[in-house]
Amino acid sequence: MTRTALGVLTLSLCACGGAARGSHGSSTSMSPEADVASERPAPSAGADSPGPAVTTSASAEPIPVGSLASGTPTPQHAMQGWGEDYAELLSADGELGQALGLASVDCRGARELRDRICELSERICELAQANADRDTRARCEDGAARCARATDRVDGACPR
Amino acid sequence: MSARLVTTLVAAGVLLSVAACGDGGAGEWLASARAVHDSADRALAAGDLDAARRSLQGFATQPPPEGVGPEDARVVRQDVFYRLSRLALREGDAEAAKGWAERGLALGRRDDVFTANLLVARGQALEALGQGVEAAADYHDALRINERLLDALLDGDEP
Repeated sequence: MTRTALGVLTLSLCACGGAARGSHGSSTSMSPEADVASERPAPSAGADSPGPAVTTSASAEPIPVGSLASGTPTPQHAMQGWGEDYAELLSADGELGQALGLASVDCRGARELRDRICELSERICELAQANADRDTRARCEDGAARCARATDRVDGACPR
Repeated sequence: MSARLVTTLVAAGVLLSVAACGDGGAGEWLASARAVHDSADRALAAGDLDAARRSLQGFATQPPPEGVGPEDARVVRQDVFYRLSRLALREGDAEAAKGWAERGLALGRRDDVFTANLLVARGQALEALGQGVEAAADYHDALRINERLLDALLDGDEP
C-alpha cells in the first residue's frame, strides 16, 4: 500500500493536463471500503539502474569510482587487471540487482490481489452450484484455474 | 498503511497535480471530494447512514469542473458511486445499490481497482436481487481485472 500511495503521488504529479493513467491500476480509493491493493513495483535501483559509468574493457582507461576517484594518479602498473575486476564487480552487481528486483515486488499487494481473485472464484463456484447454468459453471472452472495460477505466481514471487 | 493514510497521500498527490496545473477550480473539487469522504466516514462512524448517503450523493451528482482530467474525474466519481452502492446494500436496497454501481460503471471501464470494485458491488446487488448468473458474470469480470493487476504488479507492466 505504501508504494501504491507514493506511486499515485508521483504519477499524479506527472499528470498535469492529462489523466494520471498509471495511477488507476492502483488502490487509489479514497474510501475505506475499497481495499484492493495493486500497484506497479517501484523500479529497483539495483535491477534497473545501468550501473556505474565505467568501462569493463581491460584496455580502456578505467573511470575512477568511489574512493578511487580521489588522490593522486595511480601508477599504470597498478591499473592492470582492473578491467576484469570491474567486469566481475558489474556482474556481481547485476546478480545483486536481480535479487533486489525480486525483493522489490510488493508482496502485500500481490497477496491481496491473489486473495481477491480466489475469493471471487469461490463465490462464482458457490453461485454455479446454486445455478445449473453452463456459463456460470464455466466461469467457476475458469476462475478456479486463475486462482491457482495467481497462487502459484505469488508464491513464486513472494516466498514466505 | 491505513486506508486513511492512503487517502491522504492520494488526495495530496492529486491536489499537488492540480496545483501544478494552476487550476483552482479542480483543486477545490478534489478537496471537496476529500471532505465528502471524511464527512461520510464520520456519519458512518456515528451510525447515521442517511447523512453519509446525502453527503456522497450530493457530490456524485455534481459534474466535475473544467480542468479536472477526465480519468481523474472518473476515478474520483467512481469511488463515490462505489461507496453509495455499498451503502445502499448495507441498507438493504439492492436496486439502489445496482443503480449506483451502474452509474459508476457508465463513467468508463478500465483495468483498474475502481472498475473492479464497481463490478463486485453490482454483483452483490444482483445476488441480493436473486440474479446469481448475472452476478457471477460481474464477479468473473472483476476477477479478470484483478488478475491483470496482479500480472502487472509482478511483471512491472501497465495493466
